[in-house]
Amino acid sequence: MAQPALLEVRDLRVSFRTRSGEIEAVSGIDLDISDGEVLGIVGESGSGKSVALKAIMGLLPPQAQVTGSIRFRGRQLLGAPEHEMRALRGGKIAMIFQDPLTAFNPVMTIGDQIAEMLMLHDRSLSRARLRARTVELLELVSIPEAAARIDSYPYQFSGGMRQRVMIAMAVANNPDLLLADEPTTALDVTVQAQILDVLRALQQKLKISLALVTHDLGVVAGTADRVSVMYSGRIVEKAGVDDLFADPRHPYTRGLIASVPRLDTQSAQLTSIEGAPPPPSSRPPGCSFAPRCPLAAQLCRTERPALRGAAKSLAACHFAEDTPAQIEPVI
Amino acid sequence: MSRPLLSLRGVVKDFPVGKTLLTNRPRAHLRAVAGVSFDVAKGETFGLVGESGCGKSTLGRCILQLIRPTAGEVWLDDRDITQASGAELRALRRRIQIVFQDPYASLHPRMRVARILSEPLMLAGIAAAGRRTRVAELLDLISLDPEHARRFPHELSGGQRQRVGIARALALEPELIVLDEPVSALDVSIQAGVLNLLDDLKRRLGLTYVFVAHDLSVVRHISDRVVVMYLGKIVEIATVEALYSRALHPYTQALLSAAPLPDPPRERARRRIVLTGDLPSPLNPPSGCRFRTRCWKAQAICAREEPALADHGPEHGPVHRAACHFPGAAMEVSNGD
Amino acid sequence: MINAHRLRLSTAIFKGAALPVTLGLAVISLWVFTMLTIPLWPLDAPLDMVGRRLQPPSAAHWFGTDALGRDVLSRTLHGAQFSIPIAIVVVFAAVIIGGALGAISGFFGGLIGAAIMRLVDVTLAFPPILLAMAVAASLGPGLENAAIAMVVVWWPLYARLVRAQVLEVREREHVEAAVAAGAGPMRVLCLHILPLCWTPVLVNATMDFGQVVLLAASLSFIGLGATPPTPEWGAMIADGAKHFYHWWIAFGPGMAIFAVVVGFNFVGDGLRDLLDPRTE
Repeated sequence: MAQPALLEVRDLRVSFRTRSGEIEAVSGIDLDISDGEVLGIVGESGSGKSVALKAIMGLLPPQAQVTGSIRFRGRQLLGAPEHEMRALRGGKIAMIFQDPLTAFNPVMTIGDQIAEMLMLHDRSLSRARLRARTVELLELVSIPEAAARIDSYPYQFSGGMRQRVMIAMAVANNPDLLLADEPTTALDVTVQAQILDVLRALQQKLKISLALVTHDLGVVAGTADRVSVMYSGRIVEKAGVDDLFADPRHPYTRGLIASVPRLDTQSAQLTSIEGAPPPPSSRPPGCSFAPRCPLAAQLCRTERPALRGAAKSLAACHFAEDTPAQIEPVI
Repeated sequence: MSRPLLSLRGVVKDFPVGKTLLTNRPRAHLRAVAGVSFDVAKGETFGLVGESGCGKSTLGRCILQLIRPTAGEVWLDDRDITQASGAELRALRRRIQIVFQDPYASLHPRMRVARILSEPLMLAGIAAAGRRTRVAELLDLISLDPEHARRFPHELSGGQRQRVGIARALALEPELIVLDEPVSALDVSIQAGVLNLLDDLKRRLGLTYVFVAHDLSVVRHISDRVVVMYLGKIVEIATVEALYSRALHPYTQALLSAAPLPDPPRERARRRIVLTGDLPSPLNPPSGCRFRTRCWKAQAICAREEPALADHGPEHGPVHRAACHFPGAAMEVSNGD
Repeated sequence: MINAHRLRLSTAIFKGAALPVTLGLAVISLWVFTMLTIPLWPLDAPLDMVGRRLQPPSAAHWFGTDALGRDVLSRTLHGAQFSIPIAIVVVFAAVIIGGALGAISGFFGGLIGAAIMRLVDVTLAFPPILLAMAVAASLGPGLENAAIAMVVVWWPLYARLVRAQVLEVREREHVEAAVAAGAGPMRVLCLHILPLCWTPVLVNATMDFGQVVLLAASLSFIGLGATPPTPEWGAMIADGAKHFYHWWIAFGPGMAIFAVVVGFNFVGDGLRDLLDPRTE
């Protein structure tokens, strides 16, 4: 490979010191993102996906202890001095958050906030240049009458528009990597479609890589190239998006896909996964999905499975290589 | 046809908005529900779908009289319950109940599960022994371990809490339950369990549901008939089969087109309708058809004349109403091949 | 819930994390213990002339003697029997009266609610000590009248506090659920709303104990409230002011007030940190 991978995460662990002891939110995950690709990170609440994303940006509170390795184009981010991280944030690596309302400063105009983003990374820009670039960015995300709206305040925009402005801010400095933490969860479905469209278009046009964290399988199906499925702080399956949905290897992924009601067919009964994810403070030894898994054997309860399988499709299950025919159906 | 269990006629709800400094009179009224009528037959699941701001949650509460409608009638069997007095209404609570969206906020944080479930029974004047029996029955209905009865809500998972909310609604053996986004706040893998439970309970206890949601796939799975709302009005009402395969109203088509499918090849192949513009302010809805500002079919007539909710269904088939001057398939939603 | 909080407090103390709280609790406990057991202590009687007048602190009289030859230490410690119960009574009365009015205002609103709030505004418009003075003066001297005056000054704060809490809790879904189950307004208010409003009330009340002690002392200082020869701290300080160079006469009661107020403040701070949901 000509240059080092865009993002290479190895054995990332994040734990929090709380009053009730140490809680491990992320328990050793590996991630790889290459240039121009979209990685979907899917998980339910408590899976650690948002924490992992924030760890990459270095946005976790001081009580968090982060270990492992996070390399951005070969450069180690973990433990890097703060001023280096600040240069990266908003520059080469940008982030989009879930709630477009609280992510903005309510007393600054949109134009000022975008300008701030630009100025933090390039002091040489003149005011005229800043303004022009800001309008350019708003037009890039299809905000109508951009030149006029530059002086509006966040509350004057709808949720969908705010999210678009957030995307504009994120791409302002031509980042290589965009981290999106549930960017459409708080939005209506028609607005979500608009936002995903904008994201996809930008991603392809500007050749940005995207790490998209979501709990919505449909969003991942339509946007991602590759997918990592997280459960209880660990990655349980990694595959290309087509392979993941056509032939999921991990029982949790199978259960998840089977439990989503389909828009295009009316199913009689949904398969559901019994029980609930274990609380981070008391994970069972061995495979953390074992208590809910229809395939669980004694081995699963004692030995934590590593990711195994063919090159492109990996699953952290002792039975990952067994063909579906050999396995009892998920009930 | 037998009389419907629930009938709404012209239900309107206004909320006062923005006070002036000196007087207490509001500056304007926000019309959250702008004249809604439909019937719900006994034993059916009636889906109420729409995005935020369409008025579906307000409408749900208007059915129960938790919010009193500004105008219109809500008929339960042969009584217009909008006219019911406070005491009559409390008696009516035995017949219609509600399950809330947020499993965290809808349970009293300082009461144990058993106490939460006996509250409606206490209010109905049932004696202690009777209450104990009924609570045990309810726990069994929702498949919750009797041991959980002594726990506080914060000691239960989200799915378990929602089950308790459902049990509470069932306590007095209601006929009709309004479910206000009952699974939206739950994780996907838990949703399925709760939906299955709701289905099961409906069949066993002969319930009628009004299921309010924004998630089209969930509504498809559980409903018999569906109503689509936009800015306080009904835009389409049909059987679930007809709505999802032959949607007539452009908004419904856009909604169906926008909902992502967990099926990558199909997702990539889809021609998506992406609506332009934003939701208009309900304080100042567009003239004529409210959807015209975002509709690709809009013509001059759409601004002049509000389209009636007319039946465009097949000749001898079930009723399929849409409020559009140009109803019909712009594109058909891809069906299971 | 309460059990979880108590457990956390004791573990916090154990870990030495809450030093001020521990200190505060210790001080308060000592004073309460004093208040309850003092008749049994081998002290000079507080009202008796037991030594020569205006003697500085010595081995026989650790805090010296005052203008009438009474032992200052003994009087200081006996003072706990007046100041602390007054604080408890006044705060409780203010919480109950203010809380009830605030709850009614927040829950029912309307004309009555507005009227209550206007009353609160008017009362709070007066500087507290002036208002207390005015009420106490019109009622006459005596500790009981001073207590009534202080309740009049204090209830509006709790009315506001409880009203704000009620307004917030009222919007929660479990309240709607109770209404949907058929609960009437009184039941909803008392069972479903008020039990969730106590946290800020408790924190405030704890700190207010100290403030009431101060106010009571101030009233006694200016002659309203405790009548001589009651060894109430404020009255003692008033005496001490007359004999300024005999510093020890005011020192005892002054330190006592200081210790109690600081003790309650520390405990209140600690409670607030403990009960603050954001620090969970």
